[in-house]
Amino acid sequence: MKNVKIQHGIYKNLPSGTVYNSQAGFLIFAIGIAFKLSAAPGVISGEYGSSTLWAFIVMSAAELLLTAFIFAFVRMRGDDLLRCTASKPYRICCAFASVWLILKGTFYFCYCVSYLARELFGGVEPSLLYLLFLSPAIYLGIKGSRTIARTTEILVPVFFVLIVFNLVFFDTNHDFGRNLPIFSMEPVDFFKNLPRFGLWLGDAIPFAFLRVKNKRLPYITGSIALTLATVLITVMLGVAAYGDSLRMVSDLLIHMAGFNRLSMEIGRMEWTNLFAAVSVSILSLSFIYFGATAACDRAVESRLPAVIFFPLAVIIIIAVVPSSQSVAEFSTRQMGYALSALAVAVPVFMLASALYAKYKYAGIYNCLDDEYVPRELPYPEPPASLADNIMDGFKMQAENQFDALDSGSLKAEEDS
Amino acid sequence: MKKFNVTSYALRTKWVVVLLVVALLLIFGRTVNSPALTKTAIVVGVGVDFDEETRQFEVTTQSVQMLSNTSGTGGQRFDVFTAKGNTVSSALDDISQKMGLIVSLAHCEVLFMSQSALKPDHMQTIYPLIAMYALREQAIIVTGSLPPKEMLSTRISTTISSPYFLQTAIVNNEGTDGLIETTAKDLLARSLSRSEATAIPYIVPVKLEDQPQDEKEELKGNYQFDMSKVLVFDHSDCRVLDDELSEILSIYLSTTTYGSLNYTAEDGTSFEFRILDKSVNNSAKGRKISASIELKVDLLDYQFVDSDEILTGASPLIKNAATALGKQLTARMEKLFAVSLETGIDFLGLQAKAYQSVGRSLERDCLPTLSFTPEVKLTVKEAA
Repeated sequence: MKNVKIQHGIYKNLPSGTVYNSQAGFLIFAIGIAFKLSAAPGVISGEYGSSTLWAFIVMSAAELLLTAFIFAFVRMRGDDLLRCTASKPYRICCAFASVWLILKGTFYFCYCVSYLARELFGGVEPSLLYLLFLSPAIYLGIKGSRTIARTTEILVPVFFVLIVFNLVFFDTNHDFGRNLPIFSMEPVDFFKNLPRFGLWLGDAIPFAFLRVKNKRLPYITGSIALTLATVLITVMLGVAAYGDSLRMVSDLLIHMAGFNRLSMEIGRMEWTNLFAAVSVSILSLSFIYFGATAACDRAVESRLPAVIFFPLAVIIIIAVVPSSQSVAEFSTRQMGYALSALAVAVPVFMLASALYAKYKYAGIYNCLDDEYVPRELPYPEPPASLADNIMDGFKMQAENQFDALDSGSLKAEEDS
Repeated sequence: MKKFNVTSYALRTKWVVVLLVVALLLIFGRTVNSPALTKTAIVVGVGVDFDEETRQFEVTTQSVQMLSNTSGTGGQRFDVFTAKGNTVSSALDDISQKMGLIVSLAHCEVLFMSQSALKPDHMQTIYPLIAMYALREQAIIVTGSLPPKEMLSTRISTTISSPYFLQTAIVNNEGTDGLIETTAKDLLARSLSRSEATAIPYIVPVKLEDQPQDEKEELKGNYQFDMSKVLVFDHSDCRVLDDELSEILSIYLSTTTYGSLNYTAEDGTSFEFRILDKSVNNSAKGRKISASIELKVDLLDYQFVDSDEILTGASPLIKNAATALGKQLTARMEKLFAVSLETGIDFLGLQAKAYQSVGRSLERDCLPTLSFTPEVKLTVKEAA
């Protein structure tokens, strides 16, 4: 009997660059809420007003499509195939992906530090914040996917419970009608301005450089659905509570926790979501960093350029640009369109390249090491386990030996 | 068995990172300007006034100081400081210098705004208090007949601190008698909506006729707050509503409603109903807005009724009184709309509602083009 079940608690036996689908699910939730529920609602509300939720819905649909492309690529082992076939277009695509991830990480870092410096740690020297925020992100990113996935797997369930807890006890004066009208501006302007928030898209791109080992339950699909539901419900409540004043909210997740009805009894509750927001931001940054280094590895066969350039870019920006807020604003001007274009182009190109390579190199594709799929072994089946009466087999063998000795057909060897 | 290599173990990346973070915290942590609690003024109430001639803000804070003496018994002392500045922040910084402490509004639950302070941009006045001084978005906004400086200095007989009193009174009695819990967040949400108007409690301090006494003497200078009025305002104008209109407006705008409603018939019979629950439904169909308020009430008291029976909620007399009260409240809602049209202050939020239905084509300042149909219904129930 073949044991095709994946045993829990054997994470260290996972090959490098492989994560379980459950871990991928938790990662999707962490990176999915990190930016979307922190800085994004305030930034988008400043532009869209009552249409903020609808802008979120359109962007979520685009993100869902791109995530589907990435996981289709992962499922067909596109990365392995394109590396086996030494695809030059894929290398170029990975170079772009690496640059894009470095840009996304840098801008996202500035958003995180901006709200931390302005709202939470007003009296703290910003450079200290940069260092304390950057160190764990870099550490996790360099340690790689296993460390990030394991950390996420441990922390994210706690954050999820905290977020749900704060949503359940959410209590403030609100009006769901504030989510109307759908188009607070001309539909043409509505869609034309959306790509400016390109920082939003492409959260799942680092998954392209990972293998996913499946457990039984559909964790990835479930997690995508749960993440979208959490994001859209939170934004809907945010607009209902704040209306157009949502623009002053630099981190919706933290502010929402302030309206917990239990805060009348047990004091301010912002810390609950603050804990979640800061941690998922670090996890998200580290995953982006990991993605940038992995993409660089595919492009130039060395992680080193991205390993050095990502923190360097952040440090240079800190040193050169007077405020992280100006960097964050810059990312939503013309740069936003460039980020969006790359975020869409990279997954589409990756999937198209993989499909073409699968068709062109069908033989290689079939030979790809598929170690986790059970298949017929070329040699006779070994004894399966104790449960398969292996001891009975030994016992029978021993009894036969004794019978042979007793009957004299086999002579016992003498001690030398 | 693998040999345990101490040097290799100690040099593992994680330990290097942990040591690095510890070193950073030790070095930078001592140079960071993080205020100690003993150096922070715990402000419980803040007031903002605006001088339209000099265009200066006058900010007043009431802070609490915890006292202790050698016998181990503690106490509280409330200090009121005032300063002027071209911005709210500069005035607060001035107060900080006067007190020798760092001002933190993290524990401030009440924000007094003078009527003149409600004229400048609300976002620019309130946002710095939230973003820079940690004022809670749930802080309640109130105004009054006296400037904030005097309001904060007013002594209430039951508590020395007027912000403490107001916070408790508004949270516990929200929804009736003009007590509307308009928070900083709500003020900004309504101010930035199409209606650009809102309503806040209007406090009138009245000197106590009979001052409280302790064992030795009479304690002078104590006031009580009349909180039965509401100030409605937008950026250009404001109006104080009378008690009856304030009562129905607070039911309409408040999230939760406590308290009681009185109905006095023409024949002099009087009924008091306690509000158990309420439901307010606004709907807009184009420029026609309708509001349905359903109140579940319990009979609390009745007087001057020509009956020997003990009346309950099931009695036709009580049901009729409830229906009549519903009609009376509907008429008050209509009167509120008339006041809104007359003053041009859209405190009922009708333009914001119409905007949700009509969309972006709805022109600004379109209040006269809107119609409003209110309906108030009362259902008499038994209290649980």
